[in-house]
Amino acid sequence: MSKNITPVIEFWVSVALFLFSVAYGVGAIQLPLPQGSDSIPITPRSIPIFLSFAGAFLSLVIIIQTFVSNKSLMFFSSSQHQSKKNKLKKTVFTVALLLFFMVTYGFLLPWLGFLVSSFGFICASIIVLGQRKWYVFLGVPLVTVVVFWLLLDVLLGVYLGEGELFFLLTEFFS
Amino acid sequence: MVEGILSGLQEAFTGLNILMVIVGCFAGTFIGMLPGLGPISAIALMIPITYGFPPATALILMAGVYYGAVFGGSTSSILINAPGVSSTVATTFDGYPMSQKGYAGRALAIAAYCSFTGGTVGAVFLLIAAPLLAQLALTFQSSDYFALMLMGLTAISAFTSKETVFKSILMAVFGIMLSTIGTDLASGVQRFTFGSIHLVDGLSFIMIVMAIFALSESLLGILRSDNSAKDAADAISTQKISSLRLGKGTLKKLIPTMLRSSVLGFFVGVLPGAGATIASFLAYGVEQNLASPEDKKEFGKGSPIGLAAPETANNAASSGSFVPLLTLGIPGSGTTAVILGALISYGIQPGPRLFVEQPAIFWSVIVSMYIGNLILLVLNLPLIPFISRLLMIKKEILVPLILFFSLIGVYLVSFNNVDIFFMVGLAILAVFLNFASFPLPPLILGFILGGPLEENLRRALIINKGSFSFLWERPISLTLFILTLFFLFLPFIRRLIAFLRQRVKN
Repeated sequence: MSKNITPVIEFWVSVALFLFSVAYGVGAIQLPLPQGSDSIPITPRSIPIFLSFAGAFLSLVIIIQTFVSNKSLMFFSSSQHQSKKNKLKKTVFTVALLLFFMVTYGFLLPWLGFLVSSFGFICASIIVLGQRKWYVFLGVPLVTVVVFWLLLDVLLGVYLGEGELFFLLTEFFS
Repeated sequence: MVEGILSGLQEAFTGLNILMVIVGCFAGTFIGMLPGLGPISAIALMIPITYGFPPATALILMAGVYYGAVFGGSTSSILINAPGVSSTVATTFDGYPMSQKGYAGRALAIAAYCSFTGGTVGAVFLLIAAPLLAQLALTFQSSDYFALMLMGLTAISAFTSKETVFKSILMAVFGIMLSTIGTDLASGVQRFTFGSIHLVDGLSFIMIVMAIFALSESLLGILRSDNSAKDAADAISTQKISSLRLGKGTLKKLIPTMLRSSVLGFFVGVLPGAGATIASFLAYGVEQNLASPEDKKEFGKGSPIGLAAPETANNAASSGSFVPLLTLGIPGSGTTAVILGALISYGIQPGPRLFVEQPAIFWSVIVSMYIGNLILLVLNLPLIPFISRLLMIKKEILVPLILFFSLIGVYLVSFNNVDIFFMVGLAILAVFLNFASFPLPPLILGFILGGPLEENLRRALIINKGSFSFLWERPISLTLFILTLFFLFLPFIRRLIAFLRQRVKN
């Protein structure tokens, strides 16, 4: 990723952290207090409120610093080549797909079980990253998943379930 | 003490533990060689595997991984000028030029011998310093611990570059904020759980570490179109690693450097927040100043002294960073913060009581560090050309495997798929934080220390009837609090001094 977008990200990340600190502070003020909290020196709200102020102050300082040191905060400068932009878009798309696979893997893991969902996740990720040889994108996940399953389930006794779906199907057909 | 060392030896020299040191060193070396993945990621990836082991074995494995990763980082610095971690940046100054001159094998041998010396001296110092500090720490009260933790958190900012001072402190604050999620143990009040049962126990440490280091680093490798692993593989496959032997003359010349850098590295490593990076740069600077005019000319062009100094110091500092961890329960760096988190999840509370109550664990870690250094020298060094070939594994295979091991590693701890969703969210956040140049180790340190910090402050305030006077009434607290203020204002003091110097010059 190009260096000249770093200040922009820096600025927006600081803004996000500032907003988070404010929201965190609002949440802290609304925290319930236990009975007799008047007599205790430090309540469940005390530290979060202090942290909220500290977080907001520090993010503001960073926002000002970023703004002062970088006069122009253009996301993509005109000097950037089209090819670079396209490459960037492609890598961002690849990462977005990988993130999507991770979330899907999280959803499917309890339903399809370890073996099937893990095989699918590794296989899909390898393909997305550009591997086109079928014996690689099928072989690597197969070996990894089976070895991992043998190691954990068979050798160490850590149960890696078959998945809810298989239980439901077995129940349905029996 | 002798009894403790013997029990440590007994514990460390079991078949399983020796195997774990060997496995740890190899795995650490390999992961440390991968550009972008350092000791924190290496240790984080190992944590889920260690849950099935006894605590001592798990710790021994992690110590092996730590040393292996530092050594692996040195290898990629020397061979391809790509330091995997900041602590091996100084290694590139003379290591890479040596490699370019055709002395790659010699440079690797110097790195290995120096790492061994630094680690050995560090382990010996740790053997002496840790029990002494543990004895002193037994007199610590809640207020002292509070001041100590505050110092640990602020010290990080003192040793960062001037651009990241505020960012470091903000990340530590952000880490403490994350630690407040869950049930407040003192009052039973649920904080920031939003009624979700998954957040009642707070965020899992292993989940955060895996997400912000292992997952995000892999994604960053793709976003940055980082081909350095492939370049490394290409470079290593074409580069002939020359003889790994060192002449007696060279070794003799390096001995004073190794001894000086070991002592310096250890003491810098003990300081919270300083760590191996500062130690390596300091040692390089000291040796450059002390070198003879002839040797001075060689610095930056492939000087063996220039390579020996940072390599010795970073290993000694790694040992030194275990002193506050084992004796006070305070991590001095991101790596030791991860180890501390892992220890807590095994049910071990590091601190002065560990030395008294579980001496076998305490000593076996120290002994295993030494064994780890020996294994790095005897086994890893000759095998470097072969381990390097593992870098030839293509990114499209390596990245999915790292993602898989990170996700399944966290899932296997809780068998809760919600953790995977949290991980994805945190990894996205970490990617943005990384691009915005926010340092992430302070976040981990804040997250780890957040709970104990609040607990000790609460206890100190209750004992002192709500008064903060403990900060100046107790000598230990006062000293630590002054140091905290010093560390907090050190970057500004440094800036002021630089400004005044400039004014005087003009």
